[in-house]
Amino acid sequence: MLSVFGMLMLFVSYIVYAERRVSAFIQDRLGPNRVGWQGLMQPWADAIKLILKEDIYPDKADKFLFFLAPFIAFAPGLITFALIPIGSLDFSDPQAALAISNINVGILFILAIGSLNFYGLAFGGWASNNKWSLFGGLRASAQMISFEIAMGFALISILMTAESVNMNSIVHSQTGTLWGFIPRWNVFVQPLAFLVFLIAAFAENNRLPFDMPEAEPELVGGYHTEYSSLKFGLFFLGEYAALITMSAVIVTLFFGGWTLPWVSQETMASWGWGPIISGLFSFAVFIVKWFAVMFFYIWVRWTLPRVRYDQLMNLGWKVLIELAFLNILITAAIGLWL
Amino acid sequence: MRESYITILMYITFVLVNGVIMLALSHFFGPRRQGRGKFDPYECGVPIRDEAHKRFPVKFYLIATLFILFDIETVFLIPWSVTYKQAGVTGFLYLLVFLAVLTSGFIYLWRRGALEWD
Amino acid sequence: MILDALFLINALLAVGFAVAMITRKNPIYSALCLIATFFPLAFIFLLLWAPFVAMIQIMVYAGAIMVLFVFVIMMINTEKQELEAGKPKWYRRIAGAIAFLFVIVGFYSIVMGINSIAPVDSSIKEEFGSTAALGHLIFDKYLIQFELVSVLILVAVIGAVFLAKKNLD
Repeated sequence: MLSVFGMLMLFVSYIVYAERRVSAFIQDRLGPNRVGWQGLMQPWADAIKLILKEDIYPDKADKFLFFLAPFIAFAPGLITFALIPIGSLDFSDPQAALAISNINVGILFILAIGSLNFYGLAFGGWASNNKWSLFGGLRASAQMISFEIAMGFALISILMTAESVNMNSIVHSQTGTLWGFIPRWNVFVQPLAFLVFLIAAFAENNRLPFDMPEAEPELVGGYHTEYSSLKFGLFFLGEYAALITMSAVIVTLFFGGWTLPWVSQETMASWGWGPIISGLFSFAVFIVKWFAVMFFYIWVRWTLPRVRYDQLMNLGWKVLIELAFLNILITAAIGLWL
Repeated sequence: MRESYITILMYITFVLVNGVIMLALSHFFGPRRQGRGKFDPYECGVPIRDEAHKRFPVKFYLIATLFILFDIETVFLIPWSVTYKQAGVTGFLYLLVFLAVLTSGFIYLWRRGALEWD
Repeated sequence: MILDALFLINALLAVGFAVAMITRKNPIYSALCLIATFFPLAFIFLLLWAPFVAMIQIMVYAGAIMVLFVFVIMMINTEKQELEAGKPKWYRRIAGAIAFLFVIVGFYSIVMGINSIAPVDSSIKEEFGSTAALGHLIFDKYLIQFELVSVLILVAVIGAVFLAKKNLD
């Protein structure tokens, strides 16, 4: 448990670094390369800097909520990661997952705790007593809740293919192949759901092209304009933790989690590996997929321009919800009559 | 299964304690200096014009209401989605009745322009 | 034994937050306390072998309904003087008396019914409160109620749009 948390924190700090380096590469700059070899110590320098900054409470700010908001924003992303099966200890037992916890209602827990992220942004914006913060908070929260519905609908078609809300069962429903040559990953079985989920996930995480809440030209910094020192740091951590967890969720739901493509569970079980080797191997598989999705996140950020707020809301309410809805009906029809 | 809930509770506590430690760190190590105008809300450098907490468009309220309703719809779809094969065609038809009523509501609010964001 | 202790802790927490909610002057803190109330409640559902309901409790109440509350509180921008309630008017007194009556009736029924609360039965199967079990129940025993929910939501959609649109035009 401690190791998973430590690993997460490490990943969170290094994805910030990775993002800066990749964006620099994409824009033909150098990026942070001064602290340590190739700038690898940059996250530590940033952390120390944030600790040594003054902790400012602006005038007329609501002190308690101002303190609480970064806290709420930081926790959900890290907590929900506990449910992600990042590997398997025994290939012959579907439920022997390498995860902090394996509860039966796994994906619902992720949805429930994930929806609490809203309060961090809303309270942060409101408590700062700054109009830009409040605007940012309101936009962020309205955007989040709008896309949560599309996301939930997309998720339902995945639950239909897996016929379970347990994360391990969802992973196991994706083993084997489709017509003998395509891996039975949900990204191929449910391409429409994947598309909707991916777009909604970007909007949920306030990533470009949907980063309206912090649109710098309009809103200074959005909901965290007034925050300094590690309070700002917690917002930042929370945002990237949510990104990392969301990538892990996408891998689990759509890319078969820790399973290998084209290799059936029976074959893997027949290798007869012990729990440690199985765990390490499946975790390695997971990490490859996971990093690919995270890289995609960063890549998109530097490729697409920001959309307008009304376009965003239209996309969420008038396009994605309908598509996801249609997909549920198609899935049901195929599942029942074919 | 029970142990899973206990581990997750422990993990949640752990995460929260970590958050507190981090906030405490910057509280104790950060400097504390007074300064004129330093604690004013940020306003791009100009003196503050009117209050931050204003009334906001009713749109946001409408979005939140619609969100609740569709969230509840999702909640009802989840139990169906894991048992839709057992529920069979009849179950699907029952669900279609449910969805048809809700879709009529969705069409209504679309036609009334509740989804326009201008 | 440990289940009883867990129940007691969570019940006390829930009641504590609920009391805190009605005694706060600032509405946003009331909302916060109400949100906090839902977590011990969800935990109690877990103790009752109902993980699905526990998650829905957080997802719908804390994650959706309170969102609306917080939005409204943030938007209506209550002034200080509006918050300081004036002298109780006569209808407020009547409302208070009725509420007090409810509290007494509630306490009475709890005290009378306390013997009938069965201890958590360990023979309950794990499938008892699962999502699939609920799915079967909805399409079997509670089908009509399920269909009626759609009508209820429809009414709410129309009402919300109607009220909001009246303000917009």
